[in-house]
Amino acid sequence: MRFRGNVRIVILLFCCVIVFCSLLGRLYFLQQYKTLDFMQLARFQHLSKVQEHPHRGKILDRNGKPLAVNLIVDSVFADPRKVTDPHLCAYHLSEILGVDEKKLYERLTRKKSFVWVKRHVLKETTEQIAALKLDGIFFKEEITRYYPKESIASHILGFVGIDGKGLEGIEAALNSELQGEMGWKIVTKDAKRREVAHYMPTYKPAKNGNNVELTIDEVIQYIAESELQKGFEKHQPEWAGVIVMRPYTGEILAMATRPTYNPNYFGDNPTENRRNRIISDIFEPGSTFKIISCSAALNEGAVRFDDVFDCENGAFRVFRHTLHDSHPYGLLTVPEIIAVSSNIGTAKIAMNLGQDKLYEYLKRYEFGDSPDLVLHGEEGGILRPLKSWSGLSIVCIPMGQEISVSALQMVKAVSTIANDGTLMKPYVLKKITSPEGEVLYEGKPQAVREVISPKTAKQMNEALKLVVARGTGLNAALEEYAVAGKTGTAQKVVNGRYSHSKFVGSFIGYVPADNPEITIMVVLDAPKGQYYGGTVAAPIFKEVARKVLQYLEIPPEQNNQTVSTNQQGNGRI
Amino acid sequence: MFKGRIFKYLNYPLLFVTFALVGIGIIFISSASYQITLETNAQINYASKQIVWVVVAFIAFLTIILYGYDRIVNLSYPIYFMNIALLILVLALGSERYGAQRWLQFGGFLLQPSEFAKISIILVLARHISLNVGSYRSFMFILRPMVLTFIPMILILRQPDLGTSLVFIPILFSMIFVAGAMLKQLITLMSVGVLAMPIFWFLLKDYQKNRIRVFWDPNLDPTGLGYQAIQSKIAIGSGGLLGKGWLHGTQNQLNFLPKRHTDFIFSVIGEEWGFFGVMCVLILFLVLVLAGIYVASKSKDVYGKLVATGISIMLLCHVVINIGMTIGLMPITGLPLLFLSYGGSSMLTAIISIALLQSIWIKRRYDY
Repeated sequence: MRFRGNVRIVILLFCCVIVFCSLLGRLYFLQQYKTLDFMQLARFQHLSKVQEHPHRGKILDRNGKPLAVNLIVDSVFADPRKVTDPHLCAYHLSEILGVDEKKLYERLTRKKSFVWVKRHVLKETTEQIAALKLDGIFFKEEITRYYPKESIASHILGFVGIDGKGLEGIEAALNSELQGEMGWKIVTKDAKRREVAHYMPTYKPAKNGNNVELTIDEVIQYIAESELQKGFEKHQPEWAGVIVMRPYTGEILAMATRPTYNPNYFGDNPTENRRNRIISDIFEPGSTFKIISCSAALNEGAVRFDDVFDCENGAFRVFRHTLHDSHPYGLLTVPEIIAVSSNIGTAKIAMNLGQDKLYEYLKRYEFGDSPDLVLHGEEGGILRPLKSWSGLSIVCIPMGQEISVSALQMVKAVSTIANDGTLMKPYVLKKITSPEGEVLYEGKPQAVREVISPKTAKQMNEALKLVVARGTGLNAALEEYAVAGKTGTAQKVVNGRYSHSKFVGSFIGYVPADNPEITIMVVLDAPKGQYYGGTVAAPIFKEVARKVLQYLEIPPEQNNQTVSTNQQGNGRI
Repeated sequence: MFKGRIFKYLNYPLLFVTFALVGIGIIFISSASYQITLETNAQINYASKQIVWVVVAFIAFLTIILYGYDRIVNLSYPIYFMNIALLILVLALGSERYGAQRWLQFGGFLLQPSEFAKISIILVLARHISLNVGSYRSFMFILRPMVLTFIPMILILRQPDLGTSLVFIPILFSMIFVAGAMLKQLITLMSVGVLAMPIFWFLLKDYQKNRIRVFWDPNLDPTGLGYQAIQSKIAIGSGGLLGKGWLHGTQNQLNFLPKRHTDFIFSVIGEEWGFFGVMCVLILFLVLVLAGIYVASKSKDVYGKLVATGISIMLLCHVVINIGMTIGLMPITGLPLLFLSYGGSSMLTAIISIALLQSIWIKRRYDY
């Protein structure tokens, strides 16, 4: 018998050793040479970075009343695989949430593990749903931005987009302050994507955003909004706006624009409605600008307060153009020229001043420069440099043509007169505080410069009171307080020409005239029907002024403005 | 008739290696099923069930070494035909798991006849070949064993169980080789095997074909068929040299690794004990296989040599196919890692194989 098994067994033995060595080699390759790659893959599978969202800072008014807050709401979602009775579920949910039952049924029967039922639902509603104990229906807490006053101050506040970034207004401008810092934690998840609580190596908590306090007063804002709304409905302008500012500090107390929108549902409104036109739209101011040019001429001594000018009976030939007044006038003093808003008188005063000096004063009043609130979209207006002025500019600019301004710039300039000639920097940001209450920033009144002397300011005050007492601003007069102001009715430039049908009617003024608390400007762009500033804007000014003074508890003064017929000679100048 | 002296003649290194592997198996079954055991309040405790199986297997072990392997020789044909009958029964009324019919239910236990088929084929081949060693020049010398092998193999392939059926060919080949088949015959056998490949491919079910396709490129279907292959490699690779520590393997404990207490137990070891751990396991297996081959070389009769060779090669195949699939060298087939994987049938098969080796070893010094 021939059997050579043992030689062959040794061959087998070598084969075995080779096979084991190759297994070991492969293992060494995986576990030593490639191990970092596989560790990375393993970590990628079971560790995930979960972001923790900070609470966005609140926006408050000057008295700490909330204007923008966070609302913790529930979102309802379903796991269709766990829904046992989609018919019943759809029926109950549509009853409570007001969602279409058929659509809901379709969603609840999808072959997915997650569908939204409805997002951002109030707690009470979800409690109602939870009480039904429906299978496969779950809730997720979410935070949304909520504006409790709805459209009030919406243009100042702006709104927050889906991704939590501020898109307009304060929300956008101070986004970095408000948004806080994202926190994160690393969680371990198992193969079914469940979080496993006991592995939690690192953690960085979210840092909540800072709170922002504005100089806005909720009540004054409300007054401004509602009075503006009335005027907006009555005169149907393309847009309208009101600014209320405290002249001696520069604080903006209210700022309203129409058309408006509700920031809680910002997507439902056309983008046009969201523009804060009072700072972002510029217009030719018209007659209100005469305040600026006359104050400059008086301050420079180019004219004296009681100088008399010939107003040429309403037609004055200058630089091959004929300048008209709305009514023919003869001889008028400077305050009378302002009171009746004579174009010819203003032109003559300005020509006495000269264009170099006029330009200097316009720069000192900061026309052409952006007012630099913190808000987005501020416009500085258009003031052409002196070298590109035409011969006619010295006639046009003093009466508010060939120059574009924003309402905020006008308020700033007129507040200078109310503040004895010192220009205050307007501001809207009162305070930024950390969530713990630490004050990080505080807005303070800033005097920029003395533009005109206190004496000139007093003279201008008298002239502006005269406007309301006897001139174009009769509609702005109040019984209990003296009002200083000026009307403006500017032709709009349409296709490069002055329109004869579209005007900007405006009124700017401050009250009480001798001890000013508030400066108010009202602008109506292209109102339908009547368009004179004294007719469309002055009544809004009057109502806002009356209510705000009442709210501020300014004691009524003895006011002889409305009954006096001749104030100019009574020795107060 | 006192047989206590038998224990003196046991091959103790082989016994030690066996216990070491079984012990490591229980340790890692408890790690692999740790979360399940926790979640079910120890209602499902695979480790303690495995201990029960070890005890049962050990009884079988004692029975075989006391009974003597040469008496089992005489029963090899009855065992073989009974096994074939069981395999047919599996196809007829077996219970289905993971898309394959492999189990027969007896009371509360699931029996996997394909596991025992490996032993029965080794026994029957040894019996047949040992009676025909003289006629090694004849073509029949290789044809009859082939027929004997292919009958259960095709039945198992029909279940379908690719992994187990693949073990049969090396067993057949090595046994014929050791029995003295001529190189000419062996080359013929191999050529037939290579030529049969397309037919073999044709016999495969779609899912088996896909597994082999995915083996070449696991990223063909990383969340489906390639998932196991990728997860296993991640677990082993991320274990590094020293491992993450027992019960601390993230891929294991966090349920990323499927079938980890059965077919993929090696991946758990690789993750938690690292390269040094798996090297120990591989060395234990190598010692086991070499010891088996050593037993074969020392056996005094042809039958013993052939059985020991067949068993050694069977153990080797299990190690190579199972570990190979966990490290991406082999396609995924449902083949357990003997001694380590959870499962009663495979534990019984493993311990019975060792018992046969021990009995052959004892036979050198002690006559039953």
